[in-house]
Amino acid sequence: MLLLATCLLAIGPGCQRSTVEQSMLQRHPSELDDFAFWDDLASEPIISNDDALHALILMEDGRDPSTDFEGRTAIASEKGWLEGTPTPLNPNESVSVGLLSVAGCRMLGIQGGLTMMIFGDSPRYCTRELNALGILPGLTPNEALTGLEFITFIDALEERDRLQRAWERQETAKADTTDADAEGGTK
Amino acid sequence: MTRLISLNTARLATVILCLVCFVTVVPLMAQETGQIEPSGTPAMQPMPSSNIDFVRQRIRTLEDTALEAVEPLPEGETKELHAIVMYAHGRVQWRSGPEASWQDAAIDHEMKSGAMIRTGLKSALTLRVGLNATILIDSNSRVNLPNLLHNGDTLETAVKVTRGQADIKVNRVGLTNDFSVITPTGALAVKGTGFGVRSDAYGTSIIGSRENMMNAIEVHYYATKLAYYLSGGAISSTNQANPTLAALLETAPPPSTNKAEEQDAADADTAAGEAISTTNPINQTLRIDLAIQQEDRNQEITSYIEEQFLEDLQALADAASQEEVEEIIEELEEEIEEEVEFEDDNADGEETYQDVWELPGFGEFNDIPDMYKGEIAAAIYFDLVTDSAHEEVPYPGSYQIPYLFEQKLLERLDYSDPNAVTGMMDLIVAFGDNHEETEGATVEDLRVVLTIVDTFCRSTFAGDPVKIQICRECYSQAMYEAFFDGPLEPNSYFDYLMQNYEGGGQGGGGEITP
Repeated sequence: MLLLATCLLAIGPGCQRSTVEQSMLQRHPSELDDFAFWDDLASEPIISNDDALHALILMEDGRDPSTDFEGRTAIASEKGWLEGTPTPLNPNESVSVGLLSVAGCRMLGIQGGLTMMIFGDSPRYCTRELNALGILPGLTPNEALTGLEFITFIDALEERDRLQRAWERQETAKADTTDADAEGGTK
Repeated sequence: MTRLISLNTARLATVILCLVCFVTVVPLMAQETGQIEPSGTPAMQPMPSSNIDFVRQRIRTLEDTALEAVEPLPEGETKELHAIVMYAHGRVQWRSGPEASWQDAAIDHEMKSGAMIRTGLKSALTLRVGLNATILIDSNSRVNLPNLLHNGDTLETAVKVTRGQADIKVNRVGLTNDFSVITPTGALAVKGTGFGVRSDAYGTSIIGSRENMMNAIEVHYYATKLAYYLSGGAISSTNQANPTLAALLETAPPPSTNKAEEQDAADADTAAGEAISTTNPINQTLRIDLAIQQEDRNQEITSYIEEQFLEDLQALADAASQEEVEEIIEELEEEIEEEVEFEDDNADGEETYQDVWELPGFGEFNDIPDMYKGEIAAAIYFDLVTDSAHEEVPYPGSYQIPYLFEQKLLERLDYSDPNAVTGMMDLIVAFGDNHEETEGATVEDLRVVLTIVDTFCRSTFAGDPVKIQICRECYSQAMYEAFFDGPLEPNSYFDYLMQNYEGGGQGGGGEITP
């Protein structure tokens, strides 16, 4: 019993997520400080929930209208990014790869396999999907990311999004050509 | 009569003979003498078989002219080279050195050695660097140009990719290429090829460059200058309307369809080949695979872009008048936004709004039910009328909205120009003064007021949709703070101002006050 209690005491704090003393947004609150925000973020050892949600909203919507963490959480919740993540979130706690994966799956419209089709987006399976796409190489849902890793993740999402849109355009162009050929043939 | 008919027949036969001569013999003579077309293609060149060939031939001629500028300097002599912005999309800034201030990048901006470049999300910048290279800087990247030098017969170029991705294409222009790419984890040397460098959390990786995209941007950039090319062979800035052209020709000799690049394609390494010589041996195999994959993928996706632009160039060559040329250039500029993959779906102005308060930033006004909008317009006017000499305003305002608006502009946009704000407020007052008292305030009045505010925001922060939206937000929030304690809960100041309105007694579109 004593051994179990000791183990629990030892493991308990180890399971807690790391926190940052001050999020990058507190240091660069102005909307026009976005370059400074990204530059300083690159050198951060850990990315907080607040900074991560801000960056994701910037990527998705172009700007972040919320003035506080509650606002960002509301937007994230509305977009379905918090599926499978225990809430409420601590703004200064490190963001989990799982949360980022769900957000990534939503942004890219990844359908996933049977499990995701039936049970919806989950941190576990979204992480696997993004692993497979090379967007989050070799990471697991509970890990935290450094600033540079997070920026790499954002860049990879953007690259993939661009690629998907190019594919869509190509498909549309092909379909249009096929239709035009068919019409020409009919005539 | 018979004589008359035979005379007419003879005349007709002469005309037909002349026409036949004109159609058949003259082109043959023209071919023999080489004087084949009027648009500037040098004599003694074969007649192009199609318009595409004409465009290629024309570009080659330009290239030859430009290549003449690429001559080795006497030994020991150096010349500083420049980089010219060919395409900028989204939020892109650059500065000339660590101490200089950042400025937004725009087409034809000229950078020197030591320039620092940064791009935001969903942004990109394409540069023609020195005499021999094109660089496409991807979004969220930090790139420096520490060295751009023409030293004797060597073109020395160094590009530092601190973070993000840069696609690089180096042409062989007859001089020695000393092109190096520096990243936080290594340095690469380029002889004459195209590849992409990515520097991120996982180190430096080499990927296939989006060459077709760079080609398309180059072609587009050159196309925008083609009007000047077509209007004369001179490349001195004194003979041209656009002085950047001389600099362009000096720094950017061969466009995409040139023989230097064809030579590159024939004998230079592929992106995969480049990966073999420049990457960490441990990751070599993986990166080569990635480079091949990326190369195939890019080829598949973007190959149509260049074709599209060649078609555009063909149309440009066909255009007879300057107006048509300008029209086509405008179309090209629109096309590049669509074709080159970086559309910003959220760009301001693309969406259509039913009413001015639906514009991004005017949320507080949009939340107010239509029946109360007239009262808000009236209150805005009364707040601005601080002069008790106004007989129709017995309860003068205290100028709260302008005060709060200025405060918020300073806090959020670092903007301070009380005169400009006062000018805008004066317009609102002038509108209110001219308003017929008997009509009462309506939704239409708020529409006019917000249009004045919107015009102010758009003119003050022209070209920056984010700042325009923030400007509108500042005004909306200023109004809300001045008049409301909570959603649809007017404060005492609003009630006080409304006494003017009720005093007028004409009734508006409803009253917020109970």
